[in-house]
Amino acid sequence: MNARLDCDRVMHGVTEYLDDALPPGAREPFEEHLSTCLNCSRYVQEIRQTVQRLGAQPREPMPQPMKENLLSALHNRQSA
Amino acid sequence: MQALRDRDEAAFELVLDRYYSAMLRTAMVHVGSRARAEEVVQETWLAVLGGIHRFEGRSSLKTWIFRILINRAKTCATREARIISLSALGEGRVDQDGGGTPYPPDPLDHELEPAFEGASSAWRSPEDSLLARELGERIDAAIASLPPNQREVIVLRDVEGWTPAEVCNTLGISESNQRVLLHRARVKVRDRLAPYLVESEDEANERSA
Repeated sequence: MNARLDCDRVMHGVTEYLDDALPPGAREPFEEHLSTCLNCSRYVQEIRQTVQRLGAQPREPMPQPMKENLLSALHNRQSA
Repeated sequence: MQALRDRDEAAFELVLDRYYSAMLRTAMVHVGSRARAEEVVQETWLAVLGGIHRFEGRSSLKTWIFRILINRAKTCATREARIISLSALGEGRVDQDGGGTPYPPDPLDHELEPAFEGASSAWRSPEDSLLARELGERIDAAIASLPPNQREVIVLRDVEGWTPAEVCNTLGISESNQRVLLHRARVKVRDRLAPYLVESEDEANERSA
């Protein structure tokens, strides 16, 4: 079946696509659309960049006072 | 896991640090204020320490810890929504329906000093570190503006890098439901970030190739 996807369908399917969770056989027409549609390929790229940037959000360690509280709670159980 | 059972301090400390950001962000989905979220994180760990002997290993330890966290955060949020609505009634104002954050996010509540790791290809020059910091803040704002169920998923999947299975097991939702929530969340965040997503030359060349 020659499924030519329209841009609407591609935009709705981007998360499934990136998770490799599109229905069987849907990946090829999807990528074919991306190879010829500038808007959609840019959109997918922006979603990718968004995900990438989300993953780059800074991490912080546990604040020291909280850590000390919890370590002493651990201690208390040790001696229990 | 064994560390908790054996009361191994060093290993326990590692786990406290490793999960802290994810636990704080997840708690903040429900309680709104950072201070409350920190309390929830601490209470969760105390509950974990108290209950670890009962952990049967049917789920992963991470899932178990986060389920405790989310339950506590939701309970805390519900309790506070009631307190707020009672005081509002007392002042003659209509109470708001609980669910989601009981108060608006504190505008001064910045997550932390951004140590921008893993520069994406969109940012290349050192002057961009100021822009990177601003982008980080916009991302925090974008996430904070999401409905709680979408926010939960995007925080665990995209900010913290969890697998779909881990998210589904922890939140108790189906894989397809998880994906729908993730999709909606990503679209909203992308919409807000679009002006800041600069395409590098390499990416442009790659696309037209």
